[in-house]
Amino acid sequence: MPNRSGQAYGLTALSPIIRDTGRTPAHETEIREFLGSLDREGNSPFSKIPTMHLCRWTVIDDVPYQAHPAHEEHLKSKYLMFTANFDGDRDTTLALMAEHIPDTLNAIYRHCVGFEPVGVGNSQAFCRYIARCQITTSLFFADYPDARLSDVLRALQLQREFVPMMARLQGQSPAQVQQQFLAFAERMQNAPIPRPGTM
Amino acid sequence: MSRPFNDRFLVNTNRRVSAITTLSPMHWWPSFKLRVVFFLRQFGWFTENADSLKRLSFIHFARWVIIRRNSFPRLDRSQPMEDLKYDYLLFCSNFNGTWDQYIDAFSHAIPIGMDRAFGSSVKYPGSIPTTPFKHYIRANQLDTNYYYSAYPHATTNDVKRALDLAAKFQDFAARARTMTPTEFQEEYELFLYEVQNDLGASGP
Repeated sequence: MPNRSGQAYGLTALSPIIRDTGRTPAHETEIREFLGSLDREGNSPFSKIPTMHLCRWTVIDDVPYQAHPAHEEHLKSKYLMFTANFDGDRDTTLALMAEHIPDTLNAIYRHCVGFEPVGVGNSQAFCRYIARCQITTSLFFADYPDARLSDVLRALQLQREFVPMMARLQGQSPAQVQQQFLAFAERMQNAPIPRPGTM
Repeated sequence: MSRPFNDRFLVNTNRRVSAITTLSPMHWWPSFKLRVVFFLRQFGWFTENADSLKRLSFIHFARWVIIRRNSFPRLDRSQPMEDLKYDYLLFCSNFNGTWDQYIDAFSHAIPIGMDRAFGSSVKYPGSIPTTPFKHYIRANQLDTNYYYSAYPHATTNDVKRALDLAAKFQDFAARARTMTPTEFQEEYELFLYEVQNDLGASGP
């Protein structure tokens, strides 16, 4: 499965942007302006997607030209590229996106060919749309392919709080250290998963 | 190639993680050979570079995508059909450190892997010496317009060490419940010795 590495999925999708030479501002300009306005950390739309590790949107204006004697060629459409690295299967995460961030998706993909607005109850339409835009990932590398996002966020939280806890326990009796260590372990186990985008 | 007109819309970094995206043309025959190489990797061939990437430990996720000249999505008859001579190799990576450090590491640590992947691209100069390699990557690079990470303050090493710490911590915490204080003290010191390389903290 070239799109997969362990349980991680690597999605690559190219969505053709509507071509309208007389329009001002151009569709790709509106996409860029909207993307530039989005938060990229704890208030990012993707902080609501509990399976999304990393993702990006890139507007592809044209293909690179390598200079003479290479052949010069140009795209007839501009494309919006979406690449994402997430847990599990493709349609689960796309459905989560359609469910949790429909306004963001509509604001972006309304400038793309063949997109139907996402609304309540039609998350499958978004899955079908991205499936039509998908290009199979030929080689996908993940350095921690079996760790889900919740595992990573919990582990980073533990790592952040462990050293201060360890420092507090220094100099105490073995019974006190054991008691406080077990209390810390219970607190970490019951702590909510940190909000994506904040760690 | 045209470039976005305003740097305000370019975001190739997010805290401690950086994005690189390149698109390079390939003639059909080298493209076919590269598809064969990628196909054979599924059966264990040409996998030594994945091990090298894991050892370098500064890439969260990376991908190579071969876009054949007739496979750019066409979703409606109103959309003009592409008429391209070349296939294209799309490369996307999410890494820690600066752009120069990243390309230097690729050039010197896995030159054979780089040449195997990019050697199919038109006018690829080779990964060594580094300067022409950097010029080639720069010329074929696409800037990112939106870049998200669920853990932007963490490097790849932070994540892997945190995961290792979490696994050992859970194991030790489960065993610690039934120990006497004296047994606990001994095991606790052993546990700290085992996780000492996993400690530290990422974050804002």
